[in-house]
Amino acid sequence: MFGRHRRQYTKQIARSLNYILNNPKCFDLTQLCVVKGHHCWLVHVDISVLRYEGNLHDACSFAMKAALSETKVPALKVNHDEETNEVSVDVCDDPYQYGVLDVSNLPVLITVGQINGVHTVDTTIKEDSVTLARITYGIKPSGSIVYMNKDGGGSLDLLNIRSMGKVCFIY
Amino acid sequence: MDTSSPTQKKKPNELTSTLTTDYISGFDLISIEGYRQDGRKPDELRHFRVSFNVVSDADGSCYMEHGNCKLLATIYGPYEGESRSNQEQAVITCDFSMTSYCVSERRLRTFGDMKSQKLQMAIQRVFQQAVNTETYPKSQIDIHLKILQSDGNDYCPCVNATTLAFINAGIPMKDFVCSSTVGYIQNKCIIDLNQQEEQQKSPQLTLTLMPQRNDIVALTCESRVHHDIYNDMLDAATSANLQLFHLMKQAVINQLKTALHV
Repeated sequence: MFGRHRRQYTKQIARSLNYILNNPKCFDLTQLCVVKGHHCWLVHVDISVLRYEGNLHDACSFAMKAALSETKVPALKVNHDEETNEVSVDVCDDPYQYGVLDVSNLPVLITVGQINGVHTVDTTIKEDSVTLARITYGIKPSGSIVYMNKDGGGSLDLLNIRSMGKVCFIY
Repeated sequence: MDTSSPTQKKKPNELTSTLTTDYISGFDLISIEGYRQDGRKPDELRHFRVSFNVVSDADGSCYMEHGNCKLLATIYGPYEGESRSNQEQAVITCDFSMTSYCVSERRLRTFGDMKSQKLQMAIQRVFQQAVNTETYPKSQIDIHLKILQSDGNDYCPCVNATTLAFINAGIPMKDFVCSSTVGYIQNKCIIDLNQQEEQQKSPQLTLTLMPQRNDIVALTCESRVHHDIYNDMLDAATSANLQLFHLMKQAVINQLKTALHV
């Protein structure tokens, strides 16, 4: 996959992950707040693909969830001066003092594709290239679907979509 | 680096000064016992680890960890070049990129900037010399380099990793190509500089060598080196490259042994 197709594909993945992260029901953004109205943490998620063998959407979301669960947020010393309303934030020097992010509710992406009437999950690169239609679901651990995106030139009728949803649920 | 004290040693080029007792506090790049900040002796290389065949659909690939520098080198080729390419020799192209997280501050411009382009051209020139390009006329060989974690100098680990990737690809070369930096701090030549040591304003050389032929492929110097210490630095760099060569050869032999189940 080269050239502008690759660019579009990676942008699509970035967009779906972005949607999941910025959703208050999936990821509690208030845990990134340091001082209300003054400071907050900015989180960058950079994903480098070392080898593409199909099913990149799912792999990226797994990697993101794993990485965020292991993120160490440095401990801070906050001085909030009530009279002058000045806030000073100092990062703690001790590298062993840190907080963690709560990603228990973060959904993962599952892509269900259709090849010749059969629903496929976790496709390899060869299966990907023959899949005409696929739906990517963002599904939370509780089972509710938060994100759905259809990709590919083929068409799917309602029955197909419903059964694909069930497949993704079980997976 | 703001941990360095402003009252550090006098310029090392001034051979008349006695260095060791002239400065107060701060940190010594070489301690009194003779160890550097990361615990190495002045003539010791950083920890070296190599793994081959990392990308199985490339013709050759090598993942290298040299100290804190982690990078991935992949080789595609030789394959049919464009029609206007050189008719008698293979053309070698190099593509260098970093990840956003390779240095401590997140880096947005990961490819195409000045440093990357300089490095690309340098590596392309080095390997145009080193590879037996006459055996593959009208073809093209692609080198792809990706830095996953950077520790100062990227050029040297890149050259070493590319050599090993070429060997993994089975493309014949005239010799190994090894590269190492050498600096001169506190009256001693130190080899294989890491980022902290490189940022000091001390004389530094980067030597790229073909160890068995004893041919210098490239020698870069972007600082002031006094000619009295020049020969010592070159000797130190040569011995550093020979050490690297032994490590690389050992890695290749181990890989062959596992591949042939010996």
